[in-house]
Amino acid sequence: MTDCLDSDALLALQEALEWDGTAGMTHLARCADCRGVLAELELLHSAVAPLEPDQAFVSRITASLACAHAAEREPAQVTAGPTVPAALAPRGRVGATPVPVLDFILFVVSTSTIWSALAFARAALDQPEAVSIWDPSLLLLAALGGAAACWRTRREAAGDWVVPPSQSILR
Amino acid sequence: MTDDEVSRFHAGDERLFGQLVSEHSPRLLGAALRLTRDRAAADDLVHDAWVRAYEARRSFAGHGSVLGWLVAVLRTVHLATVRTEARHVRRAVAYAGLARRDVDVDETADALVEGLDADDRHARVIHALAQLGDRQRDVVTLRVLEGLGTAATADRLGIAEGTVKATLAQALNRLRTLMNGTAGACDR
Repeated sequence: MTDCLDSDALLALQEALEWDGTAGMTHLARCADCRGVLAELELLHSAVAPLEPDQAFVSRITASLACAHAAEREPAQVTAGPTVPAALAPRGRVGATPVPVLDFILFVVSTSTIWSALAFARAALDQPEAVSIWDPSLLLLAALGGAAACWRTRREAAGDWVVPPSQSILR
Repeated sequence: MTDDEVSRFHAGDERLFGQLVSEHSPRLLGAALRLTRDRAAADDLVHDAWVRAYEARRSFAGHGSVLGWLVAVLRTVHLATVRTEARHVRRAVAYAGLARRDVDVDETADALVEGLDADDRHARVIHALAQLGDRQRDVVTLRVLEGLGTAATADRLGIAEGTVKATLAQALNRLRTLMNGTAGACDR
């Protein structure tokens, strides 16, 4: 009789029914709720029945996870660190603290340059003799700010300086 | 998972994830096929679920069932995909001048999924499994899907055997409630 349960299954059944299989089976035959639970267990087991994927599919997932892994690490590598030298270091050597130090410096330099230029213009109009005092430092400040901005912009445009879009000077 | 494996899992260890992909993808693919009814869509769903699982790996507690957690992630990604598709449809309808502004896309998509899955008991049981609490889902997954005994499950989850039995009974009741809207009454 091919429909008969094998010895292992019967043994497991007896163990599961705490060696009172007859009473257990009798209850099962009468109780619709228990049969319902049995059916649900069977349903659950078959709902997540394995389906063998092909190797290309597994490779595709593995490759995507490797990409996700790399993408996760990349922002940490290119985000400026807590100190100015770290922030200016090439990609791969920068600290992981997500503080846009370089943008802040550029902002300060640009703002102070514009502010100084305005002060310089006003001084030139009101007190021509003050120009000789401020002129070299203002020019130096403007030149440094401009050069730093150009340097970073060129590196970012060339792809040497990869930053998240929110920190991009080219956005 | 051992403590070391949990640390590696949270750190996103590529080798460990490679092993997990090989180990659990067949069952995830089976579940995805039940949900999507299309092999190509199932492949995409499992792929996206793995990427999402990788991104959200730190939300996995560590000592439960990875498979159970992955099934929950799979369902979340499935619902998100359906919602996105529903938005595309609504946008297309809007372009055609037929849009109804008072339609909630998420609710409509969920209702659509439930409606589609209502006739498919396999899809319904997957949704129900994913909606169980972590402890109940862990016990059901380990006992029913991964075939662990009560003692092994208790050992794996760090709980008493009696707790495993009680949790399994509660989980099956909850599954039935989620699937049918009724609780099982029999307690032999």
